Amino acid sequence: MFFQALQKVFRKPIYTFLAFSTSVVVFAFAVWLPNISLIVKIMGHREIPFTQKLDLPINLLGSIATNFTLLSALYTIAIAILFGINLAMIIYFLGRRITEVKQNGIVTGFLGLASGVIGIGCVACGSLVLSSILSLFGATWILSFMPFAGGEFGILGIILLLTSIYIIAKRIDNPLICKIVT
Amino acid sequence: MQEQYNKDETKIPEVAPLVQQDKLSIPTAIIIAGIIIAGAVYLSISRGSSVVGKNQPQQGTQQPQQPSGLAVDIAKVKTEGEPFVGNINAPVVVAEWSDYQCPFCKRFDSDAVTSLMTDYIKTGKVKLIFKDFQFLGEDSQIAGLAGRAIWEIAPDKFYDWHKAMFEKQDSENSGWGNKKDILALVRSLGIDSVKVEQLMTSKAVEYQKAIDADKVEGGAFGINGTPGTIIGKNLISGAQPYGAVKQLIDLALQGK
Repeated sequence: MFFQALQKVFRKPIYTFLAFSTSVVVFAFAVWLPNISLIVKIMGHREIPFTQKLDLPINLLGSIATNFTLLSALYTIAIAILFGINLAMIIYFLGRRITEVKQNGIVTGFLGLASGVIGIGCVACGSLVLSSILSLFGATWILSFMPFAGGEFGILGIILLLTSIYIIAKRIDNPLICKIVT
Repeated sequence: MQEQYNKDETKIPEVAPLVQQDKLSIPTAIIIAGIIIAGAVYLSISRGSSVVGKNQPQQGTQQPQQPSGLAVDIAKVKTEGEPFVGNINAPVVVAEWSDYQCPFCKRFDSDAVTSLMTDYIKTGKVKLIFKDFQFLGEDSQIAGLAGRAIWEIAPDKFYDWHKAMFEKQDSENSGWGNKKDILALVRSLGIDSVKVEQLMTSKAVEYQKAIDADKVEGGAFGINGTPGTIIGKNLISGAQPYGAVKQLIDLALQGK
């Protein structure tokens, strides 16, 4: 059932392309996050040739090997891939104009996407995004009590994304049936 | 009869109304996700890279806080009295904030800094300044004090010691890295460990002040984690690949 639904969606090249391109964007975003202001600055520099400008973001993609722990690199890649699959399946599902939308599946999907983004981490301190948000409230010490220093959010993101994909796959595979009240 | 017929035989099945769940669920979830993502991006851009928890530098206590990526300029970095390697008059100056217990600093040192040494420092194009950002506990502070003492009595051997410190790095605040270990390493490099120990004690307050000032200065430039490196007017956060560092140095050499 699950794999049939996946086949149904990704048989169409447009959804495969959507999932792939979304995954690439999410992965790049996660890897570039600590240096986004630098990338913006270099890209906006008028005196630097365009090809030279492109070198920086391309070079920074290599930081998945240098600026991530093995765990955070693995869940960042997993989140990026699942994020793409999830988004493509949500769009496929909504595109079929099924009116009986089981909202839970979709909401879980978006929560999964959000949690995944929060869990993206790098450098020495685990969850980069979460620590940025927590630092706003002066609550970064919370991360020191987490066994994986915020990596838990990445794992939670993976679980939510997998749950969402499963629920959407189930909905895609089941035809719309109206309940008959007798 | 007619009434009976209607009642029993032509009862029209009633289609259940579609579940009218809260129609706002999807847009709300999208908006929340969007706000979280946008907020996180904004915060991470305005506050620099990773945050250092309870040891976060007190930004703006010695210098006014500057937003990262805007006021970053190597010309504004305090270089006097700071350990460095390379040609004192090199056309490009690079400043790196690091912690001796940070595993990413170790990675950055063994990858980017080693290549930088071969390609730019030994050729006289770059001077690399080592700034303290010791925030990972007692062993980091001791290493910082030792670094200051070594720079004072044997500046020519500072880089060897710096490199050896990263090579010896193990788990934080345990295993290798206490004062005794560091002094043994100092001795093995042919540096007067007795003198180093003496300075670490007699000048502890002065050295600690300099270490703390480096951290505050880094924070003012938007460095909230290690390693953080300023090249020209650019700040690069984290243990980034050598290719990215090289590109920024080449831009600085071109005057861009």
